[in-house]
Amino acid sequence: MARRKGRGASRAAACVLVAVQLAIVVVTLGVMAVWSFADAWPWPQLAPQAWSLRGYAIVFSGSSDGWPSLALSVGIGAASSLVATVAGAMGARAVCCHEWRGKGVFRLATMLPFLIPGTVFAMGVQVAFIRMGLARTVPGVVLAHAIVALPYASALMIDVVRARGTRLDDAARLLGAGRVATLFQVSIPSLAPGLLSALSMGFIISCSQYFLTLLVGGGKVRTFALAMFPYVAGGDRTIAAAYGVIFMVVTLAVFCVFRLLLRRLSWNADDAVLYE
Amino acid sequence: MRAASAEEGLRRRRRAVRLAPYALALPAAALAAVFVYGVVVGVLQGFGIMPSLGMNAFTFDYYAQALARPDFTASIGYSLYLSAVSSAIALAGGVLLAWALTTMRARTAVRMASLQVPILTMHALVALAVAFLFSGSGLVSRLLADPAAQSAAQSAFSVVGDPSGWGIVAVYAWKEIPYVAFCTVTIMMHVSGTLGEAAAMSGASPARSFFSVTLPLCAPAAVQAFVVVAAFSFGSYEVVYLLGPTYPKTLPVLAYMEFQDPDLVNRCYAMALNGITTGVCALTAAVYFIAARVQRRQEGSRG
Amino acid sequence: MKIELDDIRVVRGGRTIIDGLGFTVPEGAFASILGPSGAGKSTLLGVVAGLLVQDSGSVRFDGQAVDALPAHKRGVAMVFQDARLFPHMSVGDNVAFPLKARGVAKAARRAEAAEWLARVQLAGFADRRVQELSGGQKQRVALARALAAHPRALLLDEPFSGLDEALRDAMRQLVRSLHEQTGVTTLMVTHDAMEALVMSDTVAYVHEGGLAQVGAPVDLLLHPAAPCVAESFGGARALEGTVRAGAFSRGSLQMPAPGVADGPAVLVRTAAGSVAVHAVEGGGAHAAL
Repeated sequence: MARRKGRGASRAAACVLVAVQLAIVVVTLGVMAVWSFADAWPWPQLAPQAWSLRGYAIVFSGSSDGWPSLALSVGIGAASSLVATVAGAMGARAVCCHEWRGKGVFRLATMLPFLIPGTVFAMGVQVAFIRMGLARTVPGVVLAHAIVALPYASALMIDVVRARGTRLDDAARLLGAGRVATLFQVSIPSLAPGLLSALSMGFIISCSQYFLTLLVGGGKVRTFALAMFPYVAGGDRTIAAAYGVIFMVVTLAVFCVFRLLLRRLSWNADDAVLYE
Repeated sequence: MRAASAEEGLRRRRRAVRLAPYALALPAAALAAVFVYGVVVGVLQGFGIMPSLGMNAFTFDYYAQALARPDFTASIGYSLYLSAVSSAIALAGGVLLAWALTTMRARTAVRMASLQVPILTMHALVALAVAFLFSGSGLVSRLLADPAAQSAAQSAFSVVGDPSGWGIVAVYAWKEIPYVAFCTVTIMMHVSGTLGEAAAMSGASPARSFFSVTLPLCAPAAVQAFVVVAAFSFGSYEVVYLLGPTYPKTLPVLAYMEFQDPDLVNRCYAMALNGITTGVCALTAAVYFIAARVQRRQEGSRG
Repeated sequence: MKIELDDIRVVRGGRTIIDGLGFTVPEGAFASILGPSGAGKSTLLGVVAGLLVQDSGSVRFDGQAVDALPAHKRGVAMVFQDARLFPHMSVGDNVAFPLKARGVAKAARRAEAAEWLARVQLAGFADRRVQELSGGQKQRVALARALAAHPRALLLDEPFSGLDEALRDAMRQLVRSLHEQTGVTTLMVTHDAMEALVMSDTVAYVHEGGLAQVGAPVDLLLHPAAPCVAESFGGARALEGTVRAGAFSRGSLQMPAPGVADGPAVLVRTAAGSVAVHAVEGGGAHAAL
């Protein structure tokens, strides 16, 4: 009896904790949203005195780079997440389905961008990038973002490929399907949930990079994060909040689209657990 | 004749099969190689090796200079302090949050909202929101209705530039508690469902089964997440730039300031500072891989 | 298509899984590879299929060595223990998959897929989703899919192990009848001795990576060449069959049973280790061999 009461108490405590966490998330993002619509909010008022869309108007006007930087961020995000996901998926296939020397070193190396700051890499590689003509260019930034997203894509795909194995691919080969046919008709559809998760994660990571983009792109590649940062660092709070809200809306939209696709494509019941 | 060509064919095929994984690993290996190259070149620059400037002599001078900086001890101490405090909070809070989600058997939507949304949010934006809430003119100080308390709050509540860095820690906590929870909750739910039940069947109290069964099994994942958070917060620049005090500056900020010096030779000095940062992160990387190996061994035995 | 295995050796991780194994499967025959778990049977099938590469030795189809060929060029199809139907395709698309791989047009593909589904007694299932099927139905679809590939040889890797006993018998009969209809050379891996006995024209007994005995089922039953072969046909199970004109038959197993009355009969191992056929009703007379 006491145990059941204890269990009930711990469940109640758990619910409270989760509620607190949710409240923290909502309040934090909510404040930002409110500020984005506030025209004037002088101290010590508890609510804005005047509301306006000034912030958003400025973000999207010509003077502030809003649209071009958003488009650039989406493009770079798509490209770098694709590169990272393909590299991660192929590498996962090598790790999970073959025995070879150097497997351990390879796994270690692909995890390194996780643990060593990307900015150290960016500063060290700057001379080489300049010589290769990658510095201050979009391809250079795509490469840098792909490198930073690689550990996520790799870890995710290794989990997925290990669970699936080559069972379906073997079956397809033994029905006469060549390498390309097997890849597009069997392998990719069966790995789709993992691929989608890696793609969405890579995209969001790319959009969130500021300092790395600054170092590699030299300020010339103006992504959304680059356009936003000066306002966040100081200056008009309304505009900064507007940028913030747009960023959140875009990333959440991408995330939701991917989750919807994931649900549609989950052929097996246990898929959903893997891609939480 | 026929036998010879059959053997030849077999040999060719065996070679193709043996080489296949290397071909598959190539793209990821190339990306990793570029990364390692960048880090190594950077570390070498810290040792004075910059071929583009004709400097080819290995020297400890720059490291000596960096370590001799008057603000070096304060800087690395500050970096370590911020990193240690935020990762400890993240670990404790994250495991606690994971426990809470597991115990209340949270639905997917709740897990998404409480974990994924913070994970998706940019650090800089969280810093912005923290400033909105806790700065001198922030929402919290406005909420304190009493004017006396308000004016006291205005001076006391300086989240931007406060030497204790509590604003920075708050930002990291907001972001990294959900991250640690995310890394741990899946395993915790799985373990709690299967082994936890088994423990309960054999008479263990929920607390006992949590601490002696669930927690140890989730430990590798939690430790890995902790290490990632520690390495990230140690080497991070943005949040400290936004909310950090003028003194002491963290190591990455110091390095970047020197890096921007128009005198290229100063770059070696900057990279020496970066080298020290890399060294600390490499240590945390070692801890990560040990935890990963423990987890893999565990997975093997759990089958 | 004649399948010849010549001195196959497979070493993995320091362990010799298959050691110098060789035998022949004649054209159109139904052959079984029998043996206990871990003996290397599935590995052997993988080598024939082209999924695994052997360390030495040769696999020949109709006299031509196929060792250089990857799996999809060998013209063999395989049914696995876990069916391995493609979950993102319908049943009909699964069966039509090998036809699509060979460039058959859509309408012709669907028609032929429907035909094969009818042959495995799943007519009208073409539009169903794979997830809706029972275990037995899945295996039948897998069978239809493999045959739709028009293979030169059909490989079966313990296809009935995942099914319950009642289903297994029906499936065995289906496979056997399809074999008779299509005449495709078939190679089946199984650990069930009775299954091998009843279904095959020739049985190869594989033990610890080597070939213990190969021959007609009757030979393995009556003249086991090794203790492991003899033991595997032991056990409490009796085999039911029919005696006609002094011969006991069950499936493709035929053996002489002189003096036993016509009609239903059972084949049993006696305690002494020999084999006896007893008529089921009345009769009384039996022959011990």
